[in-house]
Amino acid sequence: MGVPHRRIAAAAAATAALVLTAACGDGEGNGGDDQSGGQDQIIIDLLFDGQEASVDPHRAAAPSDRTMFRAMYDTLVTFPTADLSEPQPWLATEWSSNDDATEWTFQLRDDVTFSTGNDLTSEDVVWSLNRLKNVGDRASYLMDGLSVRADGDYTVVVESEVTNVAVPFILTSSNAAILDSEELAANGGTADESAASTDDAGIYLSSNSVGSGPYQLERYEAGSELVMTRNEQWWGNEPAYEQIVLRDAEPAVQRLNVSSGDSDIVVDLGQEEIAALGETELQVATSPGTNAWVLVFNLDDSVSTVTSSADFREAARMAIDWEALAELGGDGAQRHCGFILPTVASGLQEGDEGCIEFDVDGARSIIEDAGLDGETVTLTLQAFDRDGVNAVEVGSRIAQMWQDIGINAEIVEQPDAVVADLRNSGQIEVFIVPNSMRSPHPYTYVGTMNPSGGTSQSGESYRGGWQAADQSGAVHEPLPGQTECAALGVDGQNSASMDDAVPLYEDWQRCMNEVSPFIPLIVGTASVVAQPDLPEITDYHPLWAIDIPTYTGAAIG
Amino acid sequence: MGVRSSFWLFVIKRLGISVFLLWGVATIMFLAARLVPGDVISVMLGEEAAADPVARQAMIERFGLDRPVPEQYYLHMTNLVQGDFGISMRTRGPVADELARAVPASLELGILAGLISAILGIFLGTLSALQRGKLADQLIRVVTVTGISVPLFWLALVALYVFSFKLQMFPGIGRLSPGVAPPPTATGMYTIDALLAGQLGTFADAFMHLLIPGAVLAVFTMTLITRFTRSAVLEVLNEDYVRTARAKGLTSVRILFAHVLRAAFVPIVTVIGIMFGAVLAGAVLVEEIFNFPGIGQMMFRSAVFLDMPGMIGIGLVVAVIYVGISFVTDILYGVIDPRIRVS
Repeated sequence: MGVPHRRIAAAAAATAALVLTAACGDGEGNGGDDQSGGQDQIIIDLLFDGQEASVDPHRAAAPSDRTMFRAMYDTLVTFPTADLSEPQPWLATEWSSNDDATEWTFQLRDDVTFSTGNDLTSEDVVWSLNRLKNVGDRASYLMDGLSVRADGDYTVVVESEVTNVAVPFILTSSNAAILDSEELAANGGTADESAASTDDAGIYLSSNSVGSGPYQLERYEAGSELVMTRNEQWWGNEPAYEQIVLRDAEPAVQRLNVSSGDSDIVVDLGQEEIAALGETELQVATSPGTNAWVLVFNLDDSVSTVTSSADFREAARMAIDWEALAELGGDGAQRHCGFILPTVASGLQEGDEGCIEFDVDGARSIIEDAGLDGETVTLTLQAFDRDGVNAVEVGSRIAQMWQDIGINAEIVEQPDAVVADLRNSGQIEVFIVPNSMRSPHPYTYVGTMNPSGGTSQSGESYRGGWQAADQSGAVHEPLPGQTECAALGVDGQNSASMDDAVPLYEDWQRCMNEVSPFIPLIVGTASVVAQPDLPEITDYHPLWAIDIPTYTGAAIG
Repeated sequence: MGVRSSFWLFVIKRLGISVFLLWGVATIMFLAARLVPGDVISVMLGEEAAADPVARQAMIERFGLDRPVPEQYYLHMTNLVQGDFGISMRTRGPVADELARAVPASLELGILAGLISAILGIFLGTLSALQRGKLADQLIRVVTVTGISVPLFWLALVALYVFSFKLQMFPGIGRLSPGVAPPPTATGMYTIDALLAGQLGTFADAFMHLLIPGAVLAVFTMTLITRFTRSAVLEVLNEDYVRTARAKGLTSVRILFAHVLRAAFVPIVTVIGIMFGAVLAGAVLVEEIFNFPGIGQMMFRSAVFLDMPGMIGIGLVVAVIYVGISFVTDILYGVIDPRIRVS
């Protein structure tokens, strides 16, 4: 029996050595002989809340996608800081428009080289913006009504079908990324009008960079990790860090990671998680959230005789205690009762105008007079957090408030695909949704929130059963003030200058707040938490959480 | 017909049944994915692009959803036979590629969890039976009741908090530390691939990343194996041949290994086989919390997204694993107990 004992002892020794080897690593993979991450990296945890589509800037459009694209793909203009009032030069050094803002001319840098080694010219810009338009994907709407042409090697002209002062703002979107057309065309990419069915470059972009940003893609594991390394061809300052690692992590895990030093920066902590950090040396930068939570009532009486009632809508609004709702978002969250758009949208100043006084008794008497006492509405939502605000908590609190005026709200949680189905068929009675940053300009919101009509049978208003006319052209009875309200938004869109547009957009929102089926509720807070020894973080960037080119010192100016 | 030919007949029959089962699973998954209400095209395109009939139609055609369901089914099955699982609606990449990454990751985790649960479960169960009614038995029973009762997601977060955050004994989430490049792919299991490539540092890193999720995943199955082992061993301990062995003066160790455990192993092996299903189910939450890109995470995300090709691909892989485990379990019966092999 001696031999088996020796074998057992040898096996035990081998196992112990194995565990020891593992334990002697520093847990960072640097204890070994190879493939170490090195010191020169930043690890950023964030929720990969997109659809995990390939790393294709013309297709993916979730907030986490924007953070990645901003570091790898340049745009003509951008917002390097959290100030969204005026686009700043990036690939374009200067730009101007004609008098009626239908033609915008951008002058490009002539010293930009893609990470592939090819030079960037106006042809790449035209090709890229056409691909964005024609792939017919999540962000293609940005190019609605726009066309692009080259005017020489380093001049690009963007033409709009209508007066549009928002063009430079729209082109700050990380989806308006400029890609190496030669390289991508050779790997399945196309910008033709048939791109929606023929473009096949997504898989290539999941493992290759064809941009000119300060970083280039090293590897991407869908829904798990994206690693970027310095782009040696970058035209700006050398980035301070060799490698940027973006990891997918739930907020609760992000808090643990940043507390233990496993992550350098995390961007999805709500106020509860921030409070749970306790007294900490970590840097915490908090800014107003970029999502405006709103209620959407369905105005179609074939869907709901309750929500289509003006009396119900008035009473439901009066029954909302905005201050109590704001408490759900923790410190820094604000009531949002004047505007229907995120408050960080460019140039807008929200005041208290439009806020309706909280009046339970008044609301209850309206419900009783209208004979709606005891009616039930279905309140549909998706169970997620945005800016530290949880949809279920908001829904539950509103249901309580409406209970006080005699309305029962039945909360129904649905997954994305089911909600999309119900919304597109206009079947949701009451919906709670965060109105997120589509673009830092009100322009792109008007089309989707003004009442739909004729061939424009889409948008938030359509999903809320708010139609000016149906597809047959039959005109629907407008709500009081609806026509004037819609006109304000269109006038804002047609303004030839931002100075003219901003007051109109503000009036449009106040008017929409009174007339439309959209009821603004609350804006949470967004935060960036970073290790104390990292460069200072002053705020949460409304578009990309953290502007990697600026933070790493790569941006010029 | 001899015993050997009967055995091979048995194997062939089992294989035939397995193929039939896999076809059934593929068919049910296909039909289920089409019966679930929802508009996945809108989720893929976003609501703006989904309202554009041209973009919508292009996406529908790209995924073959414009064809009649029988034709979709025929194409789907013929593609599956050729190893083509289709394109994921969620990642827009081939499902086969994602499975090729996810399956080895989960296997690596599942094997570790299985080993931990089997070794500890059998040890604790045997100890509990031998110490029946004593303090050790009572303590083990408390541990097993707790292990069965504790929600896995809670345990995962607590384990991450204690061992990674507070004690800093183990690294955090993921399969490797951030920025550490995966080893060259041979099996897809990072620990094995790192060893094959001679990258001891990467091996250590991958191994340490497996330990906490592996241990968390093992808890539930370990408690069940402990309880089954305890009852199986107790039953055998009362058998006449065990008393006879004692009367013959055999040592306790020899009686335990040669007579008790060998006889108790048949039900235990059955349980271990079935328990692998629990490991897969647990992996859905554990992998999501530990950001471990295995089939549990893929299953969760595909289901939430209503990614039909992804769900069908995972369903088939899980079916193959189940069928394979069931097959191996049957064979093991014969190895452990020759009477079963003969019958």
